[in-house]
Parts: sequence; C-alpha cells; structure tokens
Amino acid sequence: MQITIAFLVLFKIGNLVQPKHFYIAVGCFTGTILLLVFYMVILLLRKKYQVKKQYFIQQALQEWLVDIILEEQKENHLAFDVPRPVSNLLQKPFAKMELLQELKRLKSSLSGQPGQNIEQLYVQLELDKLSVQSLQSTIWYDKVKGIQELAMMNQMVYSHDILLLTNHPHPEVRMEAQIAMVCFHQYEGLRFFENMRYSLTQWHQLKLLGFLANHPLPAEEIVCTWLQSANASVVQFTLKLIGEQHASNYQHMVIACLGHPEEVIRRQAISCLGEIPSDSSTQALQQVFFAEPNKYLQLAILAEFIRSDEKVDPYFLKELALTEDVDVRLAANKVIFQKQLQENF
Amino acid sequence: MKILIAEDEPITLATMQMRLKKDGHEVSTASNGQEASELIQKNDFHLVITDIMMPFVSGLEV
Repeated sequence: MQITIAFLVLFKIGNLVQPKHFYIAVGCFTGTILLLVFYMVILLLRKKYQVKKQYFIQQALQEWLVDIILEEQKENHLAFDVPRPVSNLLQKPFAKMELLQELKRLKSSLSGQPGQNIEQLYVQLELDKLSVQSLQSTIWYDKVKGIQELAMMNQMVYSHDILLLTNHPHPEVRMEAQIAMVCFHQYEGLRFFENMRYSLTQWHQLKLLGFLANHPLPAEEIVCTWLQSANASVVQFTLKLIGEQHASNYQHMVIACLGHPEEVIRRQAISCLGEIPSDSSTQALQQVFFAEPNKYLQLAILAEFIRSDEKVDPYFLKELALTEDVDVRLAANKVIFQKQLQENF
Repeated sequence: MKILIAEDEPITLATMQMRLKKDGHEVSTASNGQEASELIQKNDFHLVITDIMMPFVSGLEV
C-alpha cells in the first residue's frame, strides 16, 4: 500500500515538473544518501581501528603496569624502569593518552603503596603536563578533566592554579576545582569560602560532605566565620556539616541561625538541631515557632519534635492542637501521640 | 588455597592474580559475572574475590 502511494506521489511530481529536473533531483537525493552512507562507514571503520589500537596498547602495557603496581616501596624514590618497547610506544601521543586513562582507572580502585606507585609513574612520565594542558584549555570539559586528573593523582603542587578556578563562571569547572581543593587539603581547602562569588549547589554540598565525612571539624573560630558568611550556601553547608558530625558544641551558633533572614538557613538550622538534640535546642525551637512566618518551617519544627526523644512543653503542644490550621493541628497531635508513647515506654 | 577472582578490569585482575600466586595460592580468574558463576559450579573454591560491577552478571548475583 505504502509503496503504491509513494509511486503515485512520484508519478504526480513527474507530471508536474519537467523530466530533466526530476532526474536531477532524484540524482542529487541518491548522491546525498550515498555520501551519508559512505561517511557512516568511514566513521565506523575509524572507531573500529581506534578500539583495536586501544586494545593493542593495553596489551602492550599490561605486564609492565602489573609489575609497577606490585613494586614494593622504592628506596630514595628511584624511578621505575621503562622497557624500550614501552618507551618507544609512549612516544606516540595516542599511547600516552591511553596510558593516562589506564592510570586513572587503576588509581580509582587502588590505594596504599600501589596507588602511590601509580602517582609516581604519572609524574615520572610527565603525564601531569598533559593534565595541565587540559587545565589551561578554554573548553570547560577539558578544564574539568585536567582538574580531575591532578586531584586524583594528588598533585598538590598545582593547588594554587586550581584555587583560582574555584570562582570560575562555569559551574562544573568551579565545582571540580572546589572538590580538588578539599581532596588536597581537607578543611583547609575550604579557604575558597572566603571569596566565593557563587552559591554551592545541593549536589555540590553533598559531594563536599562526602569528602569531609571522616575528618573532624576544624577550629571553632573557622566554623564561626563560615556561619557568619554573606553567602547563604556556605552557612547552609556549615550547618549540614555540624549536623552530619553531631557536633553539639556548636549548638548555640546553630540556635542563633534560627533567626536568620534567609529561609533556607532557618530550615537547615531546624534540621541541624534535630541532629544534635538537647533540652536547650528543643526550647529554642519552641520559642521561634510562633515567630516563624513560614508554615512549612513550623511543620519542620514539629517533625523534628517527633524524631527527637527530648520532652516538649505539653502546654505548647496543647495550644497548637487547638489552632485553626489543619496541618499544624495534625502535626501537633502527632507530636503529642509520639511523646505519650515515649513516656509509656 | 583455591581462589577465584572475578574482575572485569584486566590490569587489576592480573595484579591480584600475580600477588596471590606469589603467596602460593592456586588462582583461577573470570572477567565477568557469568564466567565466574560457571567456574563456581564446576569447581570447589575456598575463596571467591569478586568485583561488584561487572558485565552480564553482577558480583552480588554471583
């Protein structure tokens, strides 16, 4: 059926235009299709050739890399032996790039001495220069790649160059640069907070928290400076950090954040107090409840009361259970029920 | 000890194999989960060291 329609359409067109023009159009169309097919075949062959070349390089490097990974700590940091066939192979830029990819893959799954050996090899073969080239590129994803490579290979000598990128206009570049700074120097790396022009996204905050999870909080005055930052996302991140680490010694600072003009900070402060529960934090939440203009933050306070084991003033809850707002009333009743259950136990 | 290593990254696999052989263990290798499952059914291994993310069948399924 479709073929018949196509034939009829072609026949109609054939009647409307002169035969000469019609044949030229068909010729052009066929030529374009053939050109496209030819281009696709070339692309596929090129891809196949690259995969083959990649496989060949991997095979050539495999044995040598295994020896390097298993090498015990070298005295006086002696250089690793590079056999002549490998060194000849590494003269080719493609092979060097492939080795860099392989070292990145290995570094992500190895730690301890094998990981250090990979870092040493990376420097010995001057692969850091390739990463710096990427870092200096004007294309954002090349910059990101360069930062990732230097951070992965622990190249702290480039931390000043990376620090300059923590305020880069492109979000991915500044995010990678900030993560690299934390990888290098942990909390000290967060010194970019002092001059931060952009906000930290939620995803970025989570990534940074992940890197800092096993490190104790820095000195109190540093945390205090972050909590007083003009950048709301820095304050939010610090509150998350305090909550994650259950640092109850910062409770008074967190309570002070409950009166912050930014809603996002007040919300984070409520959640943070839920992580470091105490009598004084419960009292502070009760006190700010009626002053809080946002109903959803009031509900967040009540949700924290449900989570916590601390006692809540029964008169406060009874008053809430009689309010006109159905949501607040329901939440208050849930808190009353939860507290009664806790008392019975 | 008879050990099976299942790992899709060839260099990591070769490294682990060499290290364990050096310690005198009898080591078999599989480069994906399916191959590992087949080897487990045919042999009696004392220990299986497996990667989690592998092609065809994951380490957890193995």
